[in-house]
Amino acid sequence: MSDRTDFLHPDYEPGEFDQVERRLRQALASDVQQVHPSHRLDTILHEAHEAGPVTATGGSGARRWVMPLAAAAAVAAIIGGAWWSGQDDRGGVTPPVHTGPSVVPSETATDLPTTATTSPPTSSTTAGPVTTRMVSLPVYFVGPIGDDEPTYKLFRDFIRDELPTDATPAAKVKAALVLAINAQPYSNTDGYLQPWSGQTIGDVTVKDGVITIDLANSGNPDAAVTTEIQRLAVQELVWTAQAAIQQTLPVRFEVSGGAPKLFGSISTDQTFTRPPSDRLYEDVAPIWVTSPARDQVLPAAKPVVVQGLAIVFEATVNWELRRGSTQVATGHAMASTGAPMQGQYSIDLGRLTAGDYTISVRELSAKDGSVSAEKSVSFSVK
Amino acid sequence: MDADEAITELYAAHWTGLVRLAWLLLRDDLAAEEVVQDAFIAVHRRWDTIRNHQAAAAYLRRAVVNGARSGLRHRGVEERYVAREQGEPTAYTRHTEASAEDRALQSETTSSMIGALGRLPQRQREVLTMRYYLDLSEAEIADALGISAGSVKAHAHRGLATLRDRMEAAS
Repeated sequence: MSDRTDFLHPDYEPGEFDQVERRLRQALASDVQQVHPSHRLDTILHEAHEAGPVTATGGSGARRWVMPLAAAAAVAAIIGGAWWSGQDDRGGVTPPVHTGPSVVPSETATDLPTTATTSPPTSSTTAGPVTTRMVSLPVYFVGPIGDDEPTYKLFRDFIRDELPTDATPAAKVKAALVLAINAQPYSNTDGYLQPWSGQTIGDVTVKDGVITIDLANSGNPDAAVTTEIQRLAVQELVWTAQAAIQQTLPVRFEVSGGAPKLFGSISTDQTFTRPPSDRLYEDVAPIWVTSPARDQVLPAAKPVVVQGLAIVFEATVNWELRRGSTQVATGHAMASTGAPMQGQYSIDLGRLTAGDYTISVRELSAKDGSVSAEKSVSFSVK
Repeated sequence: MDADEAITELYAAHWTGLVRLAWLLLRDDLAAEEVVQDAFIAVHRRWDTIRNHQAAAAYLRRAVVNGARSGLRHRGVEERYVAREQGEPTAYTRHTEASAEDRALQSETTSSMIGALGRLPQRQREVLTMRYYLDLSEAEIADALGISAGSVKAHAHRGLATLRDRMEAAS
């Protein structure tokens, strides 16, 4: 890219650094061969649209408080704490949300410098006494992993919700928990269980490094029928609370009336947290599809890229794309790392003709090739 | 050209290179992608004022270097992690899942050179990485780092001299 000779200091001996320059160049070229960036164009476009154009007044969109979290997550991933390296809750891998207006089709922002066109009518500047904004909250649910048993583990959804602009961490936690105990909207599409049916979230505090969650009751064992589902129900709230503030603080539950056990089996006289990154599989489903979101509408002009997280043997996932009941394509993809760690995978489906599709991502049993985990998401291309 | 088209073109031209640049500075796959992703989002959101491919590429480089730097700043607290990874040959802090194949590609020379680069002061490391990985000109590096061309020269000189000395000491 232009001038080279100017680069070295005038008092260098000609050729003084020839060898070290050559070696450094080779070393860098060879070193980066191990870096295989995942495909993020769709995520970039999606998030840019969701945030909206930057205006003269610095106006911004819905993701104002989520964005710094993405940065924080990146840093936390470096810090190498237990669960961040599971890539959890990073803004980056988990773009679309599944309620609210479809923000993906490009409403070209170029002519509209003053409005955050793709963000819901909330935030900007001085609306009224209580300003709110739409945010995407990571919320966990207990759902079937897609084997024959069925086995249940946690799945994560991003759900839009309206929060006061100055919401405290505790308020964010509470908002996310209220969403988490209501799995009903997704029980038909995703088979999510409703173990907290009849529950109400009371006060939430984040103090002295502990998240304390008040529950109206100790949980109905009839809604969470096995000890494992009861355990996952508790973990669902733990993961959701920690995700809402992007910190793995220990979580404590207090049941109104002082019941000592959740679901009659899990003592409240303890704190809860997520498992470390090499044991995420204890709580987390083997396969998540993070993009497209369920029922998302994608533009036919752009290639469709499926992204997700997987804890799978040999880092391999198989996939099948169907249009209605017709198989359109199949293939396999590699996650960035294999079990027991959670890796990212990305499947480029190319451009698809308009229609309604379902993508199924699977782990096949190493033993007999049967499906040991599967997650399906339906989306449309227009 | 609208922002989507512009970003799509910029992505095709610069995504891989910039992620790799960020990775060379950060040594963390995911953090590198995050930093570059944020840079692209920022350009998209400012496309109305940038409106030019070259200016956008320069903006991206600045954003990536700054992002990588603030990522590194937060690393003061990660000694625990560094300690755990000390066994890795090329890791000043390494968070990459390299396959066996990838590792085999890495010769001893590469490892020791990358290791030596990692021990240079941050500014020298940035200058040398941008120069010898991305092949950027002195002016482009000066712009990305927000320093003068003379400083770029000086950092490059010191950095190369140190690397040469280490190479000679090792051989």
